[in-house]
Amino acid sequence: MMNKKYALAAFFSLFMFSGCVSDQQVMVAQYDDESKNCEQLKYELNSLGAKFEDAKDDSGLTGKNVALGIFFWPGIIVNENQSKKNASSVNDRIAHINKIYSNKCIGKE
Amino acid sequence: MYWKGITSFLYKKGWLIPAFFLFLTSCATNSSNEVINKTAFNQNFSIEKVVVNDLTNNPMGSIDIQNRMQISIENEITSRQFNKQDNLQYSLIVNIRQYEEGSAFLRWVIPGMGETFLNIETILLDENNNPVSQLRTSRTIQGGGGYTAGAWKRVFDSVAKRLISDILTAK
Repeated sequence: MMNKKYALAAFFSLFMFSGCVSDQQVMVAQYDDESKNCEQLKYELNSLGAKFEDAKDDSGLTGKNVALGIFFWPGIIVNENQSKKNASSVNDRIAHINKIYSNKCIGKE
Repeated sequence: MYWKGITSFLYKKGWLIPAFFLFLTSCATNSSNEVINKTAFNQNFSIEKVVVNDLTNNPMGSIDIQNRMQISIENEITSRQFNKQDNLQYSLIVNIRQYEEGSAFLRWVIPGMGETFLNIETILLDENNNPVSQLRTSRTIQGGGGYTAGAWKRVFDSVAKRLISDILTAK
């Protein structure tokens, strides 16, 4: 009976760890951004677009949030905050790269 | 012996295991360090100048976060004696990207709400202003009650501590 209790507690702890959205924030401004050429900037913008979608997918009605809602509802708030931060950092980096791309490449292609 | 006591207490109180893990994860510091110029990074250097920029787009905030960050980093540099004059003189450019003051009361009432959060990006420059390393450091206080009161200012010291230790340990 007691062993079952510990197994359940251990399972619950593991679940709490695996159910959390991880910190996937990116550095908004990087040292070599200004020295990148148009191709590199375009490639980075494309990959950031995919990353932004991934970050957005961690928010809302996701499997992790539904499960957390059943076992530990405050976890949903923590997850939502983290996914918002992840998406916001990617968004800021897109804006930063876009600015450099506009100055450097638009009208010169 | 100390840890044995804690683990045996948690074992006896099975339900406390998840609570203990929740307590551990409620305050987290994350960081990354990308060394750009390994040769320059491995030299004996000191931090001579720290420039902090507030890029949070929140000029109406009641706290002078730029000044607080500056003081915390400079204190950490002094306490670790990372400012010896006979070494090469490098500088740190610190950009504060996000800061949320949060509220200990809200964290106590609803775990996950009232989060305190600080996120900075740093570039370490050598004597000729060439980049040596770039770092991202952030700290989040998501849960807890009264013992997290004052986290809004302690967060600057925690982040400064992690930033300087990241630079020192990577050497």
